[in-house]
Amino acid sequence: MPDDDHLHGRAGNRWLTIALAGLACSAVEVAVRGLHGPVDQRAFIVGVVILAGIVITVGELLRRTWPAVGATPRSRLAWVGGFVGVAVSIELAVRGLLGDPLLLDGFLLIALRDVVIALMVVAHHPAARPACVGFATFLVVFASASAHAIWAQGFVVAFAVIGVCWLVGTHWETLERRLEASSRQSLPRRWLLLLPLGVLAALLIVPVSARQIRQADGFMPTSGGQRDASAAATSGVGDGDALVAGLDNIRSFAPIENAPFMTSHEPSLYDLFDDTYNEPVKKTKMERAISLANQERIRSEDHSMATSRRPGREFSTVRRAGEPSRRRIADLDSRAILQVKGRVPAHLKLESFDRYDGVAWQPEEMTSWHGLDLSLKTIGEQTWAMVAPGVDVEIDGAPEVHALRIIRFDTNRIPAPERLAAVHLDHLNRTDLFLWAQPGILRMDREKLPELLTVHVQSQLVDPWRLTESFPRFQGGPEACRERGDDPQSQAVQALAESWVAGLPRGWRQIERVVRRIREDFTLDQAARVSPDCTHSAAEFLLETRRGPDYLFATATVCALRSLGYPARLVSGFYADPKRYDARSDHTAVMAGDVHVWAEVHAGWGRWIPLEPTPGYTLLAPRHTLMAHLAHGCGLAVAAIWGHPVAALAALAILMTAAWYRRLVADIGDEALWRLRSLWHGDTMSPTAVVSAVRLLDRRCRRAGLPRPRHLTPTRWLGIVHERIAAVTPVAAEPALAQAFVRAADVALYATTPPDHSSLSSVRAAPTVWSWRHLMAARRPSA
Amino acid sequence: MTLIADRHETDIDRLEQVRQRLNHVLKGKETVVEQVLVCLLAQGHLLLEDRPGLGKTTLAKALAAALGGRFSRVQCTPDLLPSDITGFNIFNQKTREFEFRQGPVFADILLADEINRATPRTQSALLEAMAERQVTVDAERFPLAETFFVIATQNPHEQHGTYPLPEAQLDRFAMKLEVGYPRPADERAMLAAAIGPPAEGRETLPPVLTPAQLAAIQTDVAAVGVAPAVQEYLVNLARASRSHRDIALGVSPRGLLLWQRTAQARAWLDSRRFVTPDDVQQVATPVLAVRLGLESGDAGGVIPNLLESVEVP
Repeated sequence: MPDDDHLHGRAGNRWLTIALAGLACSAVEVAVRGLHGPVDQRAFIVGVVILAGIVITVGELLRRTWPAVGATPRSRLAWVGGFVGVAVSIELAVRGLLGDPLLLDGFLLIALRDVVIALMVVAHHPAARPACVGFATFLVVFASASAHAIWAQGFVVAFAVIGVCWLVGTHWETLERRLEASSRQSLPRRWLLLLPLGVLAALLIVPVSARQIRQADGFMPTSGGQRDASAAATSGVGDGDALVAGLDNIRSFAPIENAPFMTSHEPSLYDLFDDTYNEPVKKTKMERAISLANQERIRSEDHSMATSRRPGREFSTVRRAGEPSRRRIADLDSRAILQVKGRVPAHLKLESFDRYDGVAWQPEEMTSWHGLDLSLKTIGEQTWAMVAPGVDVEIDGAPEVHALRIIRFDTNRIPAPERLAAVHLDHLNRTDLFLWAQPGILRMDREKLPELLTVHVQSQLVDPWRLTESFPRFQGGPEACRERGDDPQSQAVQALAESWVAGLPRGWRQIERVVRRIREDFTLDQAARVSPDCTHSAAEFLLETRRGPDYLFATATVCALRSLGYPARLVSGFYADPKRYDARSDHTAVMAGDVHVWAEVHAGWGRWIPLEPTPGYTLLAPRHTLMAHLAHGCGLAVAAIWGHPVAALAALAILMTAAWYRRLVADIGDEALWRLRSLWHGDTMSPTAVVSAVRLLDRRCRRAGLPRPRHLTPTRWLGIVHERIAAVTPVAAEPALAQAFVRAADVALYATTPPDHSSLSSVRAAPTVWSWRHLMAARRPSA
Repeated sequence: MTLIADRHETDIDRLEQVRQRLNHVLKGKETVVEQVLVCLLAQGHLLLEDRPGLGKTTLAKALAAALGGRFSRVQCTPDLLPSDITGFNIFNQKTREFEFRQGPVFADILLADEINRATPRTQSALLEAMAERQVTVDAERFPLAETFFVIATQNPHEQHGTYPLPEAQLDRFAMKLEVGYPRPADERAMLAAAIGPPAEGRETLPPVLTPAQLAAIQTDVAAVGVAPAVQEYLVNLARASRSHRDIALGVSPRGLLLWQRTAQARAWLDSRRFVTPDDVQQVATPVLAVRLGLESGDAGGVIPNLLESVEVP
């Protein structure tokens, strides 16, 4: 009965095995995806279909090309070990780098799934099937039990039905094979036992280092903790975010409420800036009057009067030369100003500046911005003061949560990265304690933040992938942020900026270019200062010195952007440096020297995008899932093709032609290399020259579809192929040359004496005797 | 250098004449003749296994005639004694001393016809002669000719009254050949040649090669170079034969030595001073057929399978 044959035959059993393994892998996929929320069925089906396609293709390739893979227990062990090692490393690397964490149990499931996939690929060997189905049975039961989706239980039912067919088929197959001699069993080689060690080593060094993995999001978090601590956490038992209060050990630096700490001096932000960048050069009123236009001078004086009641102070870009003094800060027991828990690098904003007179920056005033309302919202057991989101500009990535512990810092401002979205203080359920210090910067309604206060801030990062050529428009913004001088120095800066962005469409690409040019073309030198009598520090930096500290980079960026018509401002604060990340405590200390100045550009609708023009500093990128990365890559590719249809079509045509004639192309390259080598060696007749010609022809035969059987010598095979060529194209065959070459090749390959110099011409002519065209002709059935 | 080349040319010519004579008596069996020559040059002994009347004896006699040495023949029967082969001491009444009377083994070419009909005791009498080219009778050692060459024949289809050759003895043969039936055209030519009075003069043709010349050629053959890669190939083949699932008894080191020597002879006949893997493969079937304990009894499928399983250098 043909049906029975199909069911019980070897091929039938192979496909049943593949189906069972595929069900198990699908169940694992549902279980693992379910950890992050409801499973998107469409994405799941697409993923499974792609995976199945790859597995079946690789399996067929292996079966046809390397049937020996997986044939013996030793070979199977090596194959499975190698496959799982590579697959797990890739999985870890991808998830580690993309910030897509995975639980330990999920990781083990995936490792076991890789074992099943490896065995499924070699399921054309009957001996590989029982192990494959055994592992698959465990997987499907375990994964279905732990999957949240109800429909995942369908996998168990389908598995049971197909499993019965598989058992029947295997039983018949075993009966058929009973009389066959049993295959020789032997223990795997000793070095194979080292394979697990290698995999373990790979786990430890991939993707980069343990520190960076922990920094990214913990190294394989367990199922403990809440979702706030880890996206993969499932509220199980464990430490998670419920850190133990360090009441007994006063050296504890955990960002928790009520932890005691030794009191000490508390440097203010302005002390820190002066300590880091030296004190500004004080100018007399007369000097200022000379350097500024009358109108500016009046406004500047108004400004200082208006801001005298605020803690904000101007920020001068002209400062004393010499090494910055940090003696006072260094004397302290702990140099940390605050501790950050959360992803770093983080730009913690404390003050923004809008007016620039060529020397000093004036703090931004609240008058132009009335602040947004705060509202209370309870998430879990925590009460958050939420900042009204304002107009949704759709450039936001995923929200980021940081916990900041203020250790010694005299300010009432709450340092927060980028756009502040929510603030949480323990036991605080009122919003009237928070006031707006400056646009987008919150302060507490008291003189300074309490010591050891822990502030949880949620912020909204800009997703650079959402910034396109046409969106946002970078319009509007406060008037002060669009001011550009009309003095000659400002015009020179404008000319420079325009030369940078020449040919680029107005928008994000121009801004990107300006930032990149400043990052790449200028040298960071924290000790460099502009001249004390400088009247336009940005122009001096951009056009003359080309080196300076970070505030000059930021100033120059703002000036360049403003000269191009983009509203921009200067921002100062702290830079939570990833180098200071402490893996043991999972915190990053922010030191006194971590004060930093950067720039922001106004995207529109009150939304600012931070820019980092200083080399060595990086902005925190939002986390993207693997699917988001794929979608972004596809989007970029589609956009590139759409933008250049002719070039894309031409490239496609070239690629397709090259793919169609890949063997010919490879052969032409191979022969060209061989000829180059021959030219290099000159007219000398050495065994290596002949052997290289033999190897060249051997490769050519293989590419042309006339592969040499492994038990035939190359010379004998060339002789056989030559006979076929002679049968098709008798004129071009040149039997004398061919015989001479075969003789020379025999001597070169197997004799202990070097070949005769007289056969040099035959060696040179060999690639034309066994030419690609002749081989293709000899391949035809008529030959 | 030229002298050596010339000498080699002359030797090749002589071997060519031997080949022609053999081809004349055994029509259409060029391959068999070629292998016989290889075996001769490799100083090995030859086992011909085939049905009666296919020209085994004719071939041996023609070879002996062409080589010009002494030829003797033993027809093996169950009552053949070892002394019938090696010779025996006889008491001379006149001199009152024992005299050794040489047996047929004291020849340049010995044809042992239907060797598997002799008893194992008689068969083993040949062992020493074949392996060491000497005979010991009553504790006295008698060396044999340097070019001593045994051609043994056996009939595969006789079961009753035969004593199959033990592996130890089989291993002393370099090759086993099957002559096979001639092609129809060759049989027609043979019939045509048999019309009329028997051809005369063929038997009386002068030999083309003296034993001394043959010995010199054999020495020359032994000097043909074998590259380390080819030797490794031989070793790989031998190892593969020992672990092959259809082969009970793989190639012994002695068999490996004989395989290399026959490959050298094959290369020499091809006017080459080095051995290629092709030489190894071309002599593989007769060399392996005599010494592999094949479970299926069919060397035809196993030996190509063995050769295909090992990659050439």
